[in-house]
Amino acid sequence: MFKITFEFHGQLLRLAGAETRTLSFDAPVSLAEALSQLGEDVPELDAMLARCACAIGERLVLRRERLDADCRIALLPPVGGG
Amino acid sequence: MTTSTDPDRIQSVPLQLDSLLAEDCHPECGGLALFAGTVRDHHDGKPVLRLAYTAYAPLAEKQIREIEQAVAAKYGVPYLRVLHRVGPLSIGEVAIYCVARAPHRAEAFAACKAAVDRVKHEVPIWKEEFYADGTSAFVEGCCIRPDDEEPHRHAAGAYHDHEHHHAR
Repeated sequence: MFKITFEFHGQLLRLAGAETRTLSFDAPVSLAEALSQLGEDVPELDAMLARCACAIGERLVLRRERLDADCRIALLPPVGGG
Repeated sequence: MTTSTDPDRIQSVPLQLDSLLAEDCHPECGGLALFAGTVRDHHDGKPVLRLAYTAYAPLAEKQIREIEQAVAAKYGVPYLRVLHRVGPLSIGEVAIYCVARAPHRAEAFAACKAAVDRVKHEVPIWKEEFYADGTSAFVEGCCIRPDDEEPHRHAAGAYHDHEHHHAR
């Protein structure tokens, strides 16, 4: 078993009402599958997830990438700096 | 850690312009373009009292540096630096500085504009506006998902190109 901690930014913080959410998985999953599970567990986020980039540290992660160990994934909604 | 030669690109304290103008020496450059983005008191007709910027710093720092390098190379600009503020900001405070130094003004202006456009569209920074009626909202932004089937989609579903500017 391993755990993925999702870290919320921007409006996701408001929608989720929390800074993070940790999910447990028994077998390796793709990022897409992990996000699907997150959307089921936190339905307030579901509509936004398709428009979010995901990052581990300073690296952007693609939906097809496999996850098989504990990690922390930053969820990055559409940006609007400047 | 902020140093005089390589400051953090994302800063939670008021941005200092003097260090950007003073550092480095480029005698070959005859043009210096400066852009400062400041906090407006209105948005879509609604009075804005203040803003709060947040960022995902690990990626934002890296991306701003990459944008500086790419834009500087594209325009042949020896010096290009972008700083972005995070945290609570009052009306009139500076949210972003961009300084470009080039042999001539045309490249300096072009690089300054291109760098600011890219930072606004690509870097994980979010702006929350607080309105006079007590409500607040995040400004609709640009999707930065790298494997998005519909790249650069606005949260509202509208498309745009990088020549369309978010007014400031």
